[in-house]
Amino acid sequence: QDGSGDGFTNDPGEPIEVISDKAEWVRSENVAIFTGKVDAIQGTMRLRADKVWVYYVERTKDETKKAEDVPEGFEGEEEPGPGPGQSITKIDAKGNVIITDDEDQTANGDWALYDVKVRKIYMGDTVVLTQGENVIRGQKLEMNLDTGQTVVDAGASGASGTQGGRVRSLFVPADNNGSEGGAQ
Amino acid sequence: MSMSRTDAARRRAQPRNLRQANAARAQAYSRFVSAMKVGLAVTALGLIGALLFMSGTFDGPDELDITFSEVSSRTDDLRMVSPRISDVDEKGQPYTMNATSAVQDADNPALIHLENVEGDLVSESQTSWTAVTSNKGLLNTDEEWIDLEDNVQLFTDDGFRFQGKLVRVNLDTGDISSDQQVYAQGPEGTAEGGGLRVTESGDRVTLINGAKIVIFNAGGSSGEGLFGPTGK
Repeated sequence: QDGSGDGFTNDPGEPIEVISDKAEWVRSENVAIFTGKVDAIQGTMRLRADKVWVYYVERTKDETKKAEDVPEGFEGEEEPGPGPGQSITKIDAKGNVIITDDEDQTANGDWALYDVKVRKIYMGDTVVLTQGENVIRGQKLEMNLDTGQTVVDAGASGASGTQGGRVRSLFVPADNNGSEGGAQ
Repeated sequence: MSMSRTDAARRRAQPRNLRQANAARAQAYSRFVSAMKVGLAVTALGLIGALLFMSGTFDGPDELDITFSEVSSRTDDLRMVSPRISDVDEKGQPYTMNATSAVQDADNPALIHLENVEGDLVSESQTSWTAVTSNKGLLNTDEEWIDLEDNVQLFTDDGFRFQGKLVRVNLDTGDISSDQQVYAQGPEGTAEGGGLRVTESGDRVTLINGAKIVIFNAGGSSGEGLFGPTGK
C-alpha cells in the first residue's frame, strides 16, 4: 500500500535536541546510546522511543561499516553505511517508537531504523501510519526520504494487527465529516 | 621619766578641750592605721588572686575565649609546594597529578588537601587521553581516589570539555564519577546531565539522572537532516 503523502521531512540546518534519562557514548565504537523516555527533536520532526542508538563516523574518515542488523525482510537492500561527509550513519530506535511531524503525520512501530546513506526509514512489527484521520496498518514500513514515498507491507500471513498477510487502511474523504469510509 | 618636764609643762598649759581634740585625733589616726593594716593586706591578696585568675591558672585544659567566624583546622606544619604525583593504574596506564600546594589533613594522614589541581589520564590503547583541572582537591592515598572540587574541568583529546562542581577520580581504575550537574561541550554539540560516569579510561562516557544533548549539525556537510532532506 503506497502512501503518497508528503512524507516526513525537516530542516537539516536545525540542531537536534535529544532528551533522555541516560546518555552514553562508547567512543571506540562511535555510538551514542540514549536510554529511557528518549525524545529527539529536529525542527518539526520528532522521534520518541524507549532506547535509541546513534552511530556516527568522524567526518574526515569515510568509514564504511557493515550493517549488523538489517531488519528482516530488507536483506536485499543496500547495506547501510556513511554517505560522503556524513556524521550520523545510522539511527536505531527500539520500544514504543513514534515518529511525528507538524503536519499531523505519525508513524508508530516497535522499532525503527534510519539509514542515512540510503535515506530510508524502516519500521517494524505492528506499524501504524496515520495522516489526519487516515490510517494504514501493517507489519513493516519503508519510508523513502528522497521520493517521500512510504510503503507499508503486511509481512507474513496472519501477522498480528493484519488480516492474514494484508494491510488494513482507512481513508476518510476530506469533505465527508462523519461517516466511516473503508478500504481493504 | 616617761614624759619630759617640758612636755608636762606644755600639757598643763593647754586648755582642756584642746587636749581632748588631740586625743581624739590620735585615736582616729590609730584606727586609720589599723584599718590600713587590714585593707592593704586584703588588697594585696585580691591583686594576687586577680593575677592568678587572669593568667588562666584555673581555666579548663585549653579553652581559649576567642570568637571567630571560621577557622580551618588544617595544620600547616607539613605543606608541600608544587607536589607532583605520578603513578600507573591497575591496567598500567600512567597518570600524573600536579598541584600548587598540598597539606596533610590534621585528623587523617591519608587525606591530602590540594590546591589548583591538574591531572592527565592516558587510555589503555595510548590513543586518547583525558586532562582534568580544578581549584581544590582532596587526595586519599590509601583508597587511591581524589575528589576534585570547585570549577572542575575535564578535557578529552577529541575536543570534549566537561564542567562540574564535584568529581571523583578513581586513580586505580581511572574511572571518573560525579553525582552533581555536569555540562559538556564537543565539536558536534553540547550535553548536560544530572551526573557523570567516565569508565574504560574515557572510552565510555555516561550522563545519568537525566540527560539533554544538542547536536549542532547531524546531517553533516551534504545537507541531510536527521530525518530527511531540506524542504519537501
